[in-house]
Order: sequence, then structure tokens, then C-alpha cells
Amino acid sequence: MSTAVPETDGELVAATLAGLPDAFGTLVERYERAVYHLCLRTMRDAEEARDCTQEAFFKAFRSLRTFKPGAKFSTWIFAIAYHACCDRLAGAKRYSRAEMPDRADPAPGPEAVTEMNDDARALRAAIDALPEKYRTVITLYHLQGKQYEDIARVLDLPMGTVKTHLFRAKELLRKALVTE
Amino acid sequence: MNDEFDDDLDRALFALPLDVPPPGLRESILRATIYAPVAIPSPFSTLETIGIGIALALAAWVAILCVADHSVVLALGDLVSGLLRALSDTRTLVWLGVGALTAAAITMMPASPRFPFNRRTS
Repeated sequence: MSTAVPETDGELVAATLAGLPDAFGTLVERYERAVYHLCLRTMRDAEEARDCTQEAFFKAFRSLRTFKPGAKFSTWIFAIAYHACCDRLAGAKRYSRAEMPDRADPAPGPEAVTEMNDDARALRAAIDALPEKYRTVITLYHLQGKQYEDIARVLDLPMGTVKTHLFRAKELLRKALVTE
Repeated sequence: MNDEFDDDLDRALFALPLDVPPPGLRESILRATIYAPVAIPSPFSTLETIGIGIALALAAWVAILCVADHSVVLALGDLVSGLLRALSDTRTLVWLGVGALTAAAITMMPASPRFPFNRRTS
């Protein structure tokens, strides 16, 4: 006799709500890196990205009951994380440019440097140079693949706008990579 | 040409490694969520808690007074016996009954009595 171990995201959410908190730990383990990646690409500041990631999971945990069964947990948590980033960016805009925190991309650690080849480094630099709206779309495209509907849901934008942003982002990336 | 580049770009994009989260991030998330200390809900509302606190403080104050000064005990005894005497008086009980009945009658009255002031006749 063995009890079924929750495996899908939906099952893990249900298990957490049923009083098995470790199930949420599995969700954190599963999405921590992707959420942090989205936050870091959006914020371009390691400390802010860390705070946004933590805030996203905290908010998700608090409002887990509002998660619709059958929905994608990844889309849901990315949307929460993206909105946390937007709130922080909107708050930061209240300060003058001189007071703005340094948003330089944090230098990758030695492991990451050896891991990434030149092409990947160039692509990452090109992505970081994109305007925020294109950067976020391309990051979500990287995370979610060609799931335009999910990207639209995360950003709360019409699908047509997402496709246009993606097209322009790719165009800018193409130009940036060709000129290098 | 663009399609070819798009394919290459997609491949390069999807091959990009995700950023590595800083050490301790997962632990801090778990500490703030599943391992967060649960606040024990109080069975009383804030007003009830304040009321209970005041009643207990008064009781403690009276107890201290009684212990410190024996005349307080006598005064309290007089007060209680006076109350009991008043309550054993038939007239007091009748007036208390009238008051209770009046209060009950008022509560049973409709909140906003309707008057035919606005009724128009054609």
C-alpha cells in the first residue's frame, strides 16, 4: 500500500493546499531558477532579482487558493514574478536618474564564464541591450518556448502585441549579432 | 534568409543556460513560506480581549484593596447586601419588569414606520 506521490504542478498545488507543505518546496525547487532568470533579465540587478523572486514565491504561496486547477503553474508564477518586477521598476522610476541604483549586469561567476561560449555571451549581451518590453518577451520566449498564449497571459498583453514585440526583439538581436 | 537566421537564433536562445540563483535563495523562500511560524489565532476579538483585560485588572485591583484594607471588605459587603435588599423589594422588581417589557416592546417595533405622506391619489 503506497500513497501516490504528487508529480505534476497541479497535484503539488493541491497537495500543498491539502496540508503537505513540502509539496510547495518541490514547486520552489522546480521553478526557482526560471523565476530568478526572468527577474534578473527584467531587473538587470542581482539583488533586486533575488528580492523579486522571493516576493513572487511568497505571493504565490499566500494566494495558492486562487490558482485555477488546470492552469499552468509556470505561467502563473511567471506572471506574479513579472508584476513584482514591474512594481519595483515603477517605484525606482520615482527617483531621479542620479539616485537610481546601478543596474549594470552583474558579472557572471567563474563557473558561468567557462560554461558560456563566446556566441552565448554575445547573445546574452545583445538581449540585455534590448529595451525592457522586448527583453521580457524574449526572456519568456526562452523560458516558455513558442507558447505565445502563455507569454501573452504573463505580460497581460494581446497575443498580436506579443508576436510583434517578439518579431522586433528578434530583429534587434539579429542586427546586434550581425554587427558584432 | 531570415527564417534560417530565426532558426539559428531560436536554437541559440533555447541553448542559453538559465542564470544561477544566488546561494541561500531557496532556503530564504522556504523560510518565508512553508517554514514560516504560524500565528495562533486568538479565540477573542480585539474588543473582547480589551474587555477581558479591563475586567481582570478591576478584579485584581479590588482584590488588592480588600487585602490591604479590611474596611473595603465591609463597604463591599454593605453594597452587596443593599443591592440584595433592593432586589428583594416587590416594587423594585415591578419597576424592573416594566423596564424590561418596555425595552422588549421597543425592539419589536418596526425600524422605520411608514406613513402615507407620499402616497398620491389620482
